[in-house]
Amino acid sequence: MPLFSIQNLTKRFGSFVAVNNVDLEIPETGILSIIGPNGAGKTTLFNLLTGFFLPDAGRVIFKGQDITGQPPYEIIKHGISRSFQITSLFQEMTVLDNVRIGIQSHLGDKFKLFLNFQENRRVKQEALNILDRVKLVDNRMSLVTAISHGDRKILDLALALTTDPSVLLLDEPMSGLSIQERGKITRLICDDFAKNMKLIIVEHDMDVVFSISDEILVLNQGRVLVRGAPAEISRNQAVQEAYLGGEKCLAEIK
Amino acid sequence: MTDKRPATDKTERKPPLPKRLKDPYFWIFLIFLLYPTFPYFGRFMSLGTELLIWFIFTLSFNLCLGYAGLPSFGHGAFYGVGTYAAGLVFLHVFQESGFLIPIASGAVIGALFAGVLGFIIRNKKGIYFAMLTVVFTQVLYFICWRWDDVTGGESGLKGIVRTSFLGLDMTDPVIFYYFVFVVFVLAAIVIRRVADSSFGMSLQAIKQNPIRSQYLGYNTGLYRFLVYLISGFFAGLSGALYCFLTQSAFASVLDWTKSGDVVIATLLGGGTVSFYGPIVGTIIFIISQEVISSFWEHWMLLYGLSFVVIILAFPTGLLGMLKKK
Repeated sequence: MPLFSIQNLTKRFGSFVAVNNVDLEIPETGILSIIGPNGAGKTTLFNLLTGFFLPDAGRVIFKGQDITGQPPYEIIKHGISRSFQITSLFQEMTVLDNVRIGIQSHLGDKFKLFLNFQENRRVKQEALNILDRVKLVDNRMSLVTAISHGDRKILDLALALTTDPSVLLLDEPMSGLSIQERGKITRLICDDFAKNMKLIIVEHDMDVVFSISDEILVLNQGRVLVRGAPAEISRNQAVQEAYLGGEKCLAEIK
Repeated sequence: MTDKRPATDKTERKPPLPKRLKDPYFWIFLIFLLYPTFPYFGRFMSLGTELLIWFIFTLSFNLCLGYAGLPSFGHGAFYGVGTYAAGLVFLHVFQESGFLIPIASGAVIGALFAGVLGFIIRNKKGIYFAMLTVVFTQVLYFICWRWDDVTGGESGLKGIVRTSFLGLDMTDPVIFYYFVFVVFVLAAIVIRRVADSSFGMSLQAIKQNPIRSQYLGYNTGLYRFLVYLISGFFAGLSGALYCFLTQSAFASVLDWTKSGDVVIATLLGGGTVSFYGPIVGTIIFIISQEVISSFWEHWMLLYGLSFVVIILAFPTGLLGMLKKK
């Protein structure tokens, strides 16, 4: 059984069709990267898979279960989690408190009216474990506004981990990062995430995409252009034209 | 940045005494415990009682505005419902048994009304949310004003009296003051615990980033409904206490200006940055209202202008201003 089975999925914004009648089956293992030019529908597809948007047509089946139209707080219960292209954090909190918000939800303490947030050791310990895992533990008492963009990207990933996902959708994890920071996140993805969960990645950094992916999916104008192993994709003429306007050969980059 | 490490494990353990002295709650407790003995203010028992009632009201309101970020601009509704519910229950049901059951009913009915409104508007955004709360209050106001058979219409509810409670003579303003004081202390402890709880922090998370909160498993609408329910309970409680302070109920408690006053008092003190902001704001608001209105009939003008200046210059209120230094 495929992990995701996407059937006739369509999303329009006014007259613009962001995702156009997409049929897709996503296998249970490996790293799948989704690439395509701006406006190809990559982030919209993520938003449809995770319940942020309601599709205009079509269905999303996850492990045989129809999850179309479920809100995000239901979607995550199936083990689906996501990160955000533009970091989506709790701006007025410390790094540790950000992660605690995720952990207390996962451990079922979020509704407790008289349990002091700061004194909840179980949640604190779990949160420190996550921060340790992403190597952000030294910044735990810093406010989100006081840490670097790279660390915010990592914190965004840490929040996605708090739901203990079996599938993680990463929306441009490298955007706006320096080479060193990219290296850090690539290591995190390869050494940790890829071993523990299914990964679906939207990314513009082709070096990263071609080096870590098991499979690449090219979207263009809301449709699946082509899908295949990295080597096939880099040789594909249609991809080169759609993605790079035919100016530059992907094979060269690789 | 430098104090990163030492600050890490400050959480557990009970704070030592000097730290307790820094706690604003301790000072508020002390001042209002001694309030009836103050040589000047001692004569103003009803003002003191009204302040305590206001504290409960603004603290409950701040759970919505400061913690959950909900622009609840019709919070006077639950206060007013509490007042009428307490009055009606006293007059028609439990006259003999004193005011305890009527006051409790005020709180429960306040929570009930807030729960119904909160459920309806839980997923409305910003201005729509605010307008619906205002409209709800106005509807209740007109119902109370017109429904003579039940609410007494223009002439309000009369015949409400404080009798004795646990052998204490509640007609004595000082004794009633201390009764309200005890209720305030308990209410403040409960509201503060809720504010500092996992639930309270969830509210702040939802306020700061509702989308991410949903992706971490928070049903944002459910939280808005729940905080309304809790806030409505304490707003109703304060309204019910007010009913027994004035020993009456008039439609004026549901006037939209009441809802405006609580917003102003909360913002003035800095409810968005501190748990005690609403109390500080209320003290300034009520006292200046008493003082200025006694010698200038157009006091609202002065007060309105000063409010505009304060909000423009110090959007986080007085405590926010002090915190920055």
